[in-house]
Parts: sequence; C-alpha cells; structure tokens
Amino acid sequence: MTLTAHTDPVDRDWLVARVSALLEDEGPIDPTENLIYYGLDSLRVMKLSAELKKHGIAVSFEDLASAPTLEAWEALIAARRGG
Amino acid sequence: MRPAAPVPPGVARARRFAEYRAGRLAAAAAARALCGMPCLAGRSVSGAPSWPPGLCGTISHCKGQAIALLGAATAWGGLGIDIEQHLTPTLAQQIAPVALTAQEQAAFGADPHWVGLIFSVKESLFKALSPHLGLRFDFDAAELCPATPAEPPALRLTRDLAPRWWAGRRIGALLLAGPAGVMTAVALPRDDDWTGAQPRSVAPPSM
Repeated sequence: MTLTAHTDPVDRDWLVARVSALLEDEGPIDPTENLIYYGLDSLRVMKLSAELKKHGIAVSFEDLASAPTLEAWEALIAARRGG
Repeated sequence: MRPAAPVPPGVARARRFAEYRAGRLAAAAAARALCGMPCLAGRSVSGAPSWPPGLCGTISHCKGQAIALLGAATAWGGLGIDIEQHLTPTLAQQIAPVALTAQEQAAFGADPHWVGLIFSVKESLFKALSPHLGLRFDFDAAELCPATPAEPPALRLTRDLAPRWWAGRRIGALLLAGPAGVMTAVALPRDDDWTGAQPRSVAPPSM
C-alpha cells in the first residue's frame, strides 16, 4: 500500500489520538472495550474510515464497525498496510 | 499497553448513555401505542436492540434526540430508522468518498443535505436488512436513486446480497429533513421474501 502525501505516521499513537478526538472525551481508552460504549457513533466511524483512505489505507466503514475496539482497529490497519 | 479498566465517566459517555436510555423509553412508548403495553428491549452482543416475541423494531439517537419505530413481526421482516444532525460542508466533503458510491457522487456531489440523507438512509437499510439476512454489508451495497417525476427517491442494491435480494432491486425509503437534522426509515414487509414483490415506500418523500 502506498502512502499519500500525508506525513503523520498511521501508528498506534495516531489511532489513539484520532479516536480520542472523535470521542470528544479525555481519559484513557481500554483497548479491548467496545468504542460504542465510549460514545462513538457511526458518523464518527465513517469519518475515521475517510481519514484512513486519505492516508492510503483502505479500511471500510464495515471493517471498522464490525469490531469497534482500539485493539482490533490497530491490527486491521497494520494488516492493510502489510506490516 | 494499558491494563483494562472500567470506563471512567466523561461527558460524551454520559450523553451517549442518556441517549441510549431515551431510545429505550421511546421504544417502550411505541410498544404501548402498538399493543397496549410497553416493552423492554434487550441488547444483543452487537449492540442492536432485541425485541420480545411478536415485535420487531429499531431505535436511533443523536445529540439529545431519540426515536423508535416498532411493528408486528408478522407484518414486518425488518425495520430501520436513523436520525442525524445536519452535516457541515467540511464533514460532508470528508465522508462523501466513503459513504457514497461513484454514481451517488456524480448525482449528488458532496452537498451536505444529500450526503447526510444518504448516509442516514443507508444506516436505516442496514438496520432493517442486515438482521433479516443474517449478513453484514457496507455502504457500497446500495445507492440512492434520485427522484424522478414518476417515482420518489429509492434505494437500489448494487450487488446480490441473498436470494431475492439481488443487485438492482429497489427498496422504498422515507427521507425527511427538518430544522434539527434528518430522519430516514426503511420498512421491509415480511411477505417480500416470499413473493419477491417490491417494497412500497413507507411515506411520501419530503422533498
């Protein structure tokens, strides 16, 4: 997968920062907890899917929504980047 | 890696929980209106509501609003409802490439009004159809066809999902826009699976 001009590395720290921002909520996030319980809604999941696409990582809404935890998303993104 | 810990209180979490409760109360009120007594919807592993035998339904909540739609399981194979706030132009621009198919983008562009309605109506379709088929599908599995002088806007499946739910099948939908945001609904009559009939629109389009 080729990365675009976006310079932020899409790593675990990026993911945690983006999810925290989308949740509009400070505080730790349990990586195994369902993010819906933290207040994440489908529109925000769609927004994250769009951001990942801009970074050249093809992760669909359904990919994210079917397993909405930080741990699962980190693994999914790593797999789609091939590493 | 942080150790697992209980979810601490937070504004977004508290708001979401209040909305969740409001949705359940709306469902209880809808059940009372439908059959004379309120019901308590359960919660499945996926987070979707589960209903007492004889009922089917759907709940949506968004930014302080909650809504529920219930029907008799003998009449409806699936119900889906969704409410969303109006999208900002920036957010519509961001999500259009992933929420809309190429044809939808050609027809509707990134108009916040239409991107919001399309996002919402696909949410409604997923809620109505996915449990019915026992199948998850993504936003590219259906697209909104613009209204014509003869027909209101309707969803059209873009690929075969299951027997009788083939690519090209049109599915009626309710699309409403108001000052507080948008509301969409999809209602699938139970008989459709057996006859292959086209579902009717649940209400006239709002625009």
